[in-house]
Amino acid sequence: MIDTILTPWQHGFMQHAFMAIIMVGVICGITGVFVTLRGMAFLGDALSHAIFPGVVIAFITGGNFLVGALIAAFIVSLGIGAVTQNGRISNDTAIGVFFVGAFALGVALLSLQKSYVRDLNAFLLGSILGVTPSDLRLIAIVGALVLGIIFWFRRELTMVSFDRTFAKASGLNLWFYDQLFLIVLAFTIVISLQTVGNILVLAMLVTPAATARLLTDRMLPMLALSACIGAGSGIVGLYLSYYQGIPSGSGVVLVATGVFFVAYLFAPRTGIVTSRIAYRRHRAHPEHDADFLASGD
Amino acid sequence: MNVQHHDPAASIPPFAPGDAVIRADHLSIHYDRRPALDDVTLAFVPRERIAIIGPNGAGKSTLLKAIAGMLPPSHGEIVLHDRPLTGTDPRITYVPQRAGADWTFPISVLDVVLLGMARTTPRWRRFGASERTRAHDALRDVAMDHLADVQIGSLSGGQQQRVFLARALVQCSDILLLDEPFAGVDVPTQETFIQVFDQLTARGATIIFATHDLLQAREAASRAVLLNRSVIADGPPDEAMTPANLARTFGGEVMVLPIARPASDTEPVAVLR
Repeated sequence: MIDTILTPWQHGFMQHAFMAIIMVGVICGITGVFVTLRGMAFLGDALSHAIFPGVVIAFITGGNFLVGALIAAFIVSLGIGAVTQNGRISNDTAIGVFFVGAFALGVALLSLQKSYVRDLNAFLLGSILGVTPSDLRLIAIVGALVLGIIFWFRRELTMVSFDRTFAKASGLNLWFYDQLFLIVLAFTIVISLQTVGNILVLAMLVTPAATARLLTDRMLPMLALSACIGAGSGIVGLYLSYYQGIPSGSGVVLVATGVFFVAYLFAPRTGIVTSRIAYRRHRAHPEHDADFLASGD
Repeated sequence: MNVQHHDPAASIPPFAPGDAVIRADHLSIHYDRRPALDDVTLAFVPRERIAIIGPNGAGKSTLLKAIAGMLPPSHGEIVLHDRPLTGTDPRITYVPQRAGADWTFPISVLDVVLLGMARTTPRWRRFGASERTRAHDALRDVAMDHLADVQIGSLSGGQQQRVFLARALVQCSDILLLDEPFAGVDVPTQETFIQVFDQLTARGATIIFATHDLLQAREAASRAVLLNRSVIADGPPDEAMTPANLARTFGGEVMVLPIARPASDTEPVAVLR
């Protein structure tokens, strides 16, 4: 057992992979709480695809991935804003148009490269085993920036997510906070690309946060749980990938998805199975009515 | 019950009773060139409780949002204490409609009220004892303190509206704007609101609320403004809410019936059809 756990750590590339997935799990878990609470899962998915051409151009020209991704994110978000302006095209329709268009552009650009298939595969599914110390540094720095922004603006982000009219009445500039969150989301996605890949990053943003929401009704515990579930799924998924030979991204996401369904079925109070059991017990022992009513709604 | 936590009115020069604390001056607001409000001129003084009455689409919310500094006027201006209003102002608190909030949000009643103080609490520290005390006081004022730790999703409509009122109370502003505060709330909540209104106006606040409930307007307001894009009538409820004015405001959709009530047997009450 101990050996099973320790063996992968003997390889330097696995140590890097573990460090990367833990950081990405925590950062995606935290950002993901706001993504899910604002119902922005679709935008998260769209953004991860929309920044693709920016990343590809950076890759081809040898430029900075982050800068390329951010420029692409800005262009797409401004484009979505412009197209929805006339009121005939809804927000999610515009997101749909832009994200597929941008993704196609990214694939087209990448196809001009000689190593097209290998590169595309790496972008789509991640190449966590190729994480270098400089990648780790980038993840750490950008991740710290993401967490710092979220901490600094935590009340504003909460207000904007909970009650936009109230946030506006309190003097918050909604446009600013929407754009700020978009940047935070773009940062998060970019540093996750190498570990879980373009397609599966959405799962890291949404699944741990959704699981945490099943387990708590409070913001702070939700953030903590989401970060832990993200990092935990990352670690377990990486072991799965190491021993079963499946791509690391899918290993991580499968574990996170599994955890979600366990929580869905067995969460205290809200779980499908747990609440059934509580209900049966209550039927069998009506004298405990008061306890039962006090424990849930 | 005590609503006088921190009195910001103390820092503002006192005004003569007739002085307007806030007024709309030839205010027009257009959405896509369609007028939502057309040449509205109104002045509000301290201790007034104004019901803005009108059908859906009459511009009630638009008027409140303009007064709150959330919507720039297309023409005219909002004047707060003799200065044109250019944006939101801490002396004005706006209570939005309940429907706009996400009631599944993982947040407790107390935390919602604390958010009312988000802009006055330094961002590098957590909400401290003084903010918590103020939030609990406000919750006590709306008879919700016993539910302070409850998640908001489990509240009834009336309880949600009380939480919103408590969140407004901690802001201690002297102008309170409420958008449809009585929509779908229970009788105890209505009574709580009227009690809180009494206390706020007693200390010099101005309360403006939008409603399409004529009975509520009569009970809670000292002044009624009948609005349908422009001001149809303005005055004490009994004088402004005449059958003719109501018919003009609601476009002939109102029946005015004498309804027997304990207070006065023949008081005319308008009923929406």
